[in-house]
Amino acid sequence: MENVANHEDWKVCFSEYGPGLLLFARQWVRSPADAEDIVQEAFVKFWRRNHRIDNRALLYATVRSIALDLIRRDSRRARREAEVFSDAAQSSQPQFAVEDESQRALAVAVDLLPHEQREVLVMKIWNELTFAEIGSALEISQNTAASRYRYALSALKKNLQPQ
Amino acid sequence: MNDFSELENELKKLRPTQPSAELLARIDAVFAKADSNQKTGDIAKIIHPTRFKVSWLSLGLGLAAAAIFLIFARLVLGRQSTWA
Repeated sequence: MENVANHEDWKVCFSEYGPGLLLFARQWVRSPADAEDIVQEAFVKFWRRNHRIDNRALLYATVRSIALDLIRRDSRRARREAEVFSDAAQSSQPQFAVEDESQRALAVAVDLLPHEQREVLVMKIWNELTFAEIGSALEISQNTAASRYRYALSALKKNLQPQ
Repeated sequence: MNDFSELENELKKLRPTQPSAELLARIDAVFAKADSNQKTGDIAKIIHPTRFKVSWLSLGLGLAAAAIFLIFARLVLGRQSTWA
């Protein structure tokens, strides 16, 4: 893939990053429709400015920024999302295409992680960003990103252990 | 190899849900519209030269003035040659 965004190859780029971006957006809004709105706005904004495609940190930072703006714009929405966040995972539509019960359990465990840990995990596992990129996108240090990732994995491992 | 490599592999096997076809269509429409607007703008920016228009009145007056001048000049030159 070329480094610089050309006019016609956005579909190639989107097919690569779209699922990860959508999953990332859903860390703030549980409704798939809202998440798609965020991804659309962020991707179009990013593409129009002809940012470098390898500047993924900026792409994810754009998604995050638009998601937070959306929540701030509508306080009722924020309350609603907060309620959803505090609710169990069963109420939200699935973020993963699970194939069996073990995957379902893993998806639920991911969903129950604290938000700060989950967003780092999502960026690392399903978007394959480096800790430096994650730090840049979330405006935290690389070490903090790595710590949150380790905490997330520890929590998952603990939660998935048979009682 | 770290303690979490097995867990990381399991996590990577989880596939995020795909964006809907509607989302792709919406983004496509946004870019198509932008393209169209850009092309329209480009066409509007082209400077077309104003067409050359013949002003028949000006041409007629000009020709008439030239004819009068020639007749007058001929008369003057004819008199001068007669005097000589």
